[in-house]
Order: sequence, then C-alpha cells, then structure tokens
Amino acid sequence: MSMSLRNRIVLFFLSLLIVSTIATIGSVLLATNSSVKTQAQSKLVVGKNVFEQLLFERGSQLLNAATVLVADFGFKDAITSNDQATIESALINNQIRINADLMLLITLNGELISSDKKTTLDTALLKELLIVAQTQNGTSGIILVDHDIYQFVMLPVKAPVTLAWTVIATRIDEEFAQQLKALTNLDVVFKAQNIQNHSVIVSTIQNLSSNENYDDIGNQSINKILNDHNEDYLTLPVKLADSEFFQINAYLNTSLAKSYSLFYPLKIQIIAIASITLILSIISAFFIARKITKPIIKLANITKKISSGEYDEKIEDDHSSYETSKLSEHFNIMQKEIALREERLTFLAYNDSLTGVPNRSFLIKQLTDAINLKSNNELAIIRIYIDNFKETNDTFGYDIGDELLIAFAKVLISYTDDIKQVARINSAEFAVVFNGINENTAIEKIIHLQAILQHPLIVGGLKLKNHITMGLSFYPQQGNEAEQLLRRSEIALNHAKDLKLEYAIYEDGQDERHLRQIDLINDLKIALETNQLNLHYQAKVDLEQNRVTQVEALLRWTHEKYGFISPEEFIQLAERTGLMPKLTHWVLDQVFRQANDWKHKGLDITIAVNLSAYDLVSDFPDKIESLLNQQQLSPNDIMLEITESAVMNNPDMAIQVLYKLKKIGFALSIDDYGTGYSSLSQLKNMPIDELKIDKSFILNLENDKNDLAIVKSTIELAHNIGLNVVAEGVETHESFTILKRWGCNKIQGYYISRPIDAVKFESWLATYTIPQVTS
Amino acid sequence: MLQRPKASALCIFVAMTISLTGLTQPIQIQFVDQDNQPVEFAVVADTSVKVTPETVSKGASKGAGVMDQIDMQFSPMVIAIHKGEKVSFPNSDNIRHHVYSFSKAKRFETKLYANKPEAPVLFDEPGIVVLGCNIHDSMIGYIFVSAWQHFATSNKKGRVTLNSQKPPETLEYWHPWSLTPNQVNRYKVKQWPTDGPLMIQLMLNRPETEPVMKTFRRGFGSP
Repeated sequence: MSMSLRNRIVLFFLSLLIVSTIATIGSVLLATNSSVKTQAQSKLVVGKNVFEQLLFERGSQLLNAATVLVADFGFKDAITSNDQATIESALINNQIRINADLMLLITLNGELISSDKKTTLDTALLKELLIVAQTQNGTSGIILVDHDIYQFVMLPVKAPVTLAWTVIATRIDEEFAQQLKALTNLDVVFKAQNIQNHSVIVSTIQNLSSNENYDDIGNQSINKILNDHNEDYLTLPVKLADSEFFQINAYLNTSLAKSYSLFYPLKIQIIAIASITLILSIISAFFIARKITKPIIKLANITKKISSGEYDEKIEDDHSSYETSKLSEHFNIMQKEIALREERLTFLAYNDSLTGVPNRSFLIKQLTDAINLKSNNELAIIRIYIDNFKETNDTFGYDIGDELLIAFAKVLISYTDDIKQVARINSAEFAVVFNGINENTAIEKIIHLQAILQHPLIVGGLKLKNHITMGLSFYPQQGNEAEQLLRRSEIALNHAKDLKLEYAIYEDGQDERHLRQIDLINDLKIALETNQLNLHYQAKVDLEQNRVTQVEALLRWTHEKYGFISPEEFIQLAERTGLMPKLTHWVLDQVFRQANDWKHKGLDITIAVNLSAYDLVSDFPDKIESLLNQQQLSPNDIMLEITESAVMNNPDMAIQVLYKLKKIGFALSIDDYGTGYSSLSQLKNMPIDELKIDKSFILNLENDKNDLAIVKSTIELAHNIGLNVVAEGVETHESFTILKRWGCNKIQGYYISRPIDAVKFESWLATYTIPQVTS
Repeated sequence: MLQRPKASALCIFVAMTISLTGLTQPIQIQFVDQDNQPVEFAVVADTSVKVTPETVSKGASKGAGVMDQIDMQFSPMVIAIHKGEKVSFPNSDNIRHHVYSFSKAKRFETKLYANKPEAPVLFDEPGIVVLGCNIHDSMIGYIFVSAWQHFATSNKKGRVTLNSQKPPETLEYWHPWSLTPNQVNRYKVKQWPTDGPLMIQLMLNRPETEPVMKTFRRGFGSP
C-alpha cells in the first residue's frame, strides 16, 4: 500500500523539523557542556592559586610562631636540662602556646623526643630532614606522621650554637579543609600514601566512597572526572610531597553537576521552544498538505465516476490555487470530449454505417433487454434475406447494391414505425422484431410484410423488384436468449432457402443438428491434424481367381463426444466446408503407405479408394500421380471408386478427369451403381473398368425377386459392354452362391469380412479360405 | 674521650723541620686553614703537665680570665683558662647583656649592666664553654677551660708559643669553627721541627652571617 501524498508531505516536514530540532538542541547542549567544562577548568586554576597561597600563609604563620619559640631562653634552658620529663613538658607547653598540633625535638645525634610519646618517625626520614635542614638552617613542608598529615617547620635550637632541632607542625584536618573550601569554593581532598600503601584521606566531600576514585586519577590531567555519588567532578591534583617515604597530594574538585544545573533553565526553555515549533509546524504541514491533496482527491473521485461512464459531474473550481483551477477546467473539457467520443463510438458500435439502422450487436442488446424487461412478453424474430441482392450487385454494381439496401431499410423502418425494431445483420440480411406476436398470429403479418417488401423499389433510376426469403423464430417458445433466437431464425431462413420456400419457421431439433454439424466441422479439422481418423479395409474376393485380390479403404472417425460418425455424414460436411481436398490427400497418403507396406511384405493386394465429387477437378490427376511416385507405386496397386451421383453432378468435367486418371493407368470403378440416374449409354462413354452394384440390391437378394432380376440383368449387361461387376453387401452364403453362379466377378461384404484395420486384416488374410459352393 | 677522627688526621699536614739547637729554640706552632691562611683563636695545650690548684692560685695565667663585651660582640671571641680560674665579664658596651651558657662544662647566666661589673665566674670543669647573650643572638663567645698547665691561643698570624720546659710529645688543640666544635683534638708529635714552628692545618667551617629564616621560606606550597 503506497503512502498517501498528504502523509508524505507531513512526514517530510516532520522529519526535517525533527532533524533540525535535534541539531539545535544538540548544539546548545554541546555548547553548554563545553562552557561548563571551561568554567570549571578556570575555576580550578584560580582555586589552585588561592589554595597554594593559603597553604603558604599558614606555613608562614607557623614559621613565625616557631621562630619566636625556639629563640625563647626558657625553652632553651628546658631542653638543655638533660631531663626527659622536663624536656617533654616544655614541648607540650610550647606546643599549646603556639597552638601547634605536634612538636618534636631531635637531638644533634638524631634522637627523637616528642611531646606525644606515641609519635614515631622513621629514622631514615629524620636523617633526610636533617640533611636538608642543616644546609638551609631549617626546612618546611607537608609530612605524614603516623596517621595524620601535617604542615611543619623544622628549625634549629641555638644556644647560641645549634643544640638540637625542633619540628613544629599543624595537622591538616577536615576543619582546615573546610576553611580551604570556604575560601576557594572548591572541594578539597588531601590524600597521603606511605610506602606500605597505607593511605590517609582528608576530604570535604561527604562520604567519599573510597580511595580508589583518586587512585584512578593519580596526578593526571585537569579533565579527569571523579565519579562520586553519581556526581561528576572536575579534579585538579596538586602535589604536596613526593619522597621515598610517602606521597601527599591535594585534589581540588569542582562539581560539574552544580555547574550544569545553572544551565538547566536554559535547556528547558530551548526544548520548550523547539517542541512548540515542532507542533505548530506539524499542524501547518497538515493543513498545507490537505489543501494540496483535497482537489486531487476530488479529481480522483470524479475520475472513478468517469471510468464507470458518468460524465455529467462538473468540477466546481474552488479557486484554491491557479494550478488546481487550470486542472479543473481541463478536466471538465476532457469529460465533455470523452462523452462525445463515446457517443460516436456507441453509435458506430450499434448501427450499420450504410443504412443507419441498428446492427446485429444492437439487435442482440435490444432483444436481451426486451426479454429481461417483460418475461411474459411474446416476440417474433423475422430474418429477411434479399435473394436478388447478389445478382443486383453483379448486374448493376455496388453503388446500386448499396442504394438498394438503403431503400430496403427505409421500407422496413416505415413499416415498423420504430427504427429500433429493425437491424441489418448481414450483407443482404435484415431482421425485424415484433412485439406481442406468436406463432399462430404471425402468418398474416408475414404475408403482409412480404407483399410490401416485394413491391418494386426505384433505385438509381431503376425499378427493381425484390424477391425475399424469411426465417422466423419466436420467444419464448423457441428460446429465451437473444443469440439463440437469432441463430434459430437463421436456421429457419437457411431451411427456407434450401427448400426454396417463401418463409420457414424454426422447428425443434434443427438447432441441435446445426450445432452438431458445427462441432463436427470444427473437430474434423483437428482430427485431420491429430490423426484421430483411421482407415479400415474390407476384403474383396475375386471369384475367378478364387482369392482375396482387393480391399476397399474405408475412412473411420470416432468422435470424442458423438462417438462413431458415419463417413456419409462427415464427408458431406467436409465437402461443404472445403475440407475435401485435405481429407482426400490424407486418405491417399495413408493408403499409398499401406500399399507400399504390403508390397514389401509380399502381399498382392490392390487397395480401392473412394473419391468424392469434389475430387473430380482438373488438377486432381496430377496430384495423385505425384503422390503415387513419391511412394514408388504403380497405378495397378490402386483402384479408384467414384460414386454414380458424383459423376452425374458434373458429367463433362468428371469424364474429363476420369480419362486423365485412366490415362495414368488407374483402374476405375463406379460405386453405388443403381442408385443414381445414369444410363448405360453414358456408362458406355466412360473410361471405367468396373461396376459396383449398390448393396441395397444385394442385402436381401435371395428373398427378393425384383432384386434378383435387376442384379442378374445388370451383371449380364455389364459383361456385355466389357465391364467387371462387383457385388457389395454380401452377407449370406445364399447370396454368395447366387452371385457366383451368375458370374459376378468380385464379392464384398460381411460374409467375407467386416472392414478391419490393417493389422487385423493381415492376420485375417493369413487364415482365410474361400467358402466352397456346392451344386 | 678525645679521639682523633680519621677525617681530621687526613686533613692535617705536619711540616717537619730539623732542629739544630733544640733547647734554645722557643716551642712554636703555626695554625693554617685549608686555604693555608693563618688561623686565629686556635687553642693548643701541652698534655705532659696537668694543672694543679697550686699553680692556679699562683696565678699562672694572669690577665687571661677576662671576657669583655664590645660592640655587641664577645671580646676576644675565644679565651683559654686553667681549670679552677675565674673569668670576669666587664661589659664595655653601654647596653645591657644577658650572658649565658648551657654547656656541660659550665651552665650559668649573668645579667650585665653597663659600667656595673658583676662578680667573676668560676670555671672548675675542663671543657669548652659556649657563651651566648639572650638579648643579642648574634653574640657568640668561647672559653677553653684547660686541664693542662701549658697552653696558648693563636694570634692573628696563627702563631702560638708554648712556655713548656721541653717540646711535648702530645698536644691537644681546638678551634670553635672546626667541623667538630664540641671535640678537642689530640695530636702526637713525631719530631719537632728545628728551624721553625710546628705546622698544624685545620678544616674550618666559617659561620654564616645571614639570618636563618629567609633561606627556606619559599619552600611552602609549591612542590
């Protein structure tokens, strides 16, 4: 199913807008994200400077306090007292005095004395610090002591030469981290890690999940993001101490989520604007699409009506656009044109162009309508054939012929008062349909019509008297379909023509015969091409030679529907439909092949072939001769049988052909002798060898005195003029005996053999013996 | 206790001279530093004769027991005295001083007022006493309290003359700027030179005069 134009337009706009909206929102989001990051980065850079400054200030304060402290005489006095308790108490006192978190004393020998006895410090670390401090008269920095991170200063205690070293430190705790946060506006995380990988974390981020987050970032770039409680941080690491004993770093973090949240209202606004634009655009796209497609749909509906034959719907121009107005206008013109053209075509389709009366198609339509309209109506279909039309054409030319037809049509129209009752259905054939007339009331009307139509017509200055023949069929008695009624009237007409009647009314059964003949004519062509026909052979016994010398080839056709068709019937059809030459050719071809076959098998059999009157045409002898030569046969192998009536039909031509055939060398036989009107004097002039007495004289020979007399005298007469005699239809031993006694030359009939196919004939011949005649 | 460290042995160079007239020749020692410059304030002692209370009371080293304060400095920077002698701190400045010592050999403090001498301080333990002023941190002075009868302090030319009866076999020497300022070095003389003083070279570490704090202040914060 293809998408509608409207949906297509809407979809196109929708896709376009969605793409552009996504692009807009995407670019805004990208810009804000990048802005957030840039801001966060610069915030970190500024924060780092503040952070370092703060750390420095704190260290400076510590240094100042410590410097004053180590110069204190009492302090010096105490620590040189050599009394451990005094020293420790002095350390505690001074630690409190300057508000330090840790205070250590280191002797010149590197021994550690602490205010807090639990404090431990690696000796190696102490030595490292001492080396640095000695060269610089002191040192400072960030240090990991036990589990705390400290900022420290290390100063010498001089009295006045250096007596010992002191370390004074303040703890970097969460409170300090919070102070840093308050000033830098950054979350601060201190992380110290000693060589045992034990780490200490001081953080302003609540519930910092684990150390690992920071391990991941190490001392990497500014862009690293710390995931913590689903919050993204941008983190900047600051290295505070990196020695072989520990690593201490500070991480400055700014929450990206908070920065993003500043852009939240902007994003909402943009998405809202984009959504509203999108909705408005879809609505307008929908309306535009509708405006475009509405006239198209309207035109489509009208086109549909046009295709079903309605041309009267005018398209109203709604002035929606120039294009649609133009289209509507042309559509209306087109509709009008189509209607006109169709009218013309319809007229041509249903009317005879010469006379102007309806044609056969219209007649059938009219009849069908009349039948369907009123089923109890009575109709008479009269077919009128102008017998002298062909003759008029031949004599006076086609112009006169045409004028005759026009004049004739006018007579019919004036008689019926309604042109629709008249039709010309063939060159010289008209039909008239009458309402309310049945078989009984029709005769009077027919006679009246005939009188009118045979009244002379003035055509082209000539006074022509017409002779007509009519065929009639009636509704409903003789059919209830237009075609059927028309056909039956034609059959009646043909019947009348055949019998040279003025008119004929269709009789029941004529149509069926007619249809069977049509079927057979059609099927005979097919049968010829597909070898449905075959030949049977009936033996002839030569009584002088006392053996089978001849067979008669008989054509057989078994029809799929009608079964066995008698040769008389289908040969008559073939003669009528011009199929005869084809049929004869086929038969001859088959017979010659068979003759050749038997000759090769050593059988001395002559095959007799029946010829039709239609075969007796001038070019036939040449054809048969060439066929004979093809099969390398001699004319002696073939005998030709011609019926008496075939010869009598056109005796001059027939005799001419027979002479030619005789000249070629064929033996000729007159078939069905006794049924025609031939006289012996005519037979005397024919180049024939044999008479074949018709079986109607033989079948009942032994019981009929007349037959006996006719047959006996025929044999004698024929012998007297030098002709052989063949009797066919011999079925009894009695007739066989009589014929033999009278000197009949050849016998053919069921007494000898039925017609059988070639194969059966061969086996039959092998075992057959001639019946003996006693007495 | 006085051990000679290996390092200092390597640093000492003894110039041997042949003495033609050993007895008539004064016993002289010349101190030079690593740059062969004469070293003042080096103290050397003959370890063959110990000091006794009698010799101290006879005033064997008269006039030595004075440590003055001039221009906010101890003057001289180093003095050497016999064990059991007293040292007076006259204060020639017109400001106050608060002289103290936290040294083992003598812990004491005395507040000195201008033109108002305090009682001399008795040093009855041999050793090195470092003097400071609680008011003026830059004042540093040293008193070498000798356990031996014969000793002397080198002059500006680095020359010392011992008044011993015969050239001693072993010597003790010390200087406040040596690498081990708390130790007294012992030295065995193999042969005294005949044509000049015995040469002793010292490794010295001259004190810085710059204030302490400024050297590492910048160390905070930035790694």
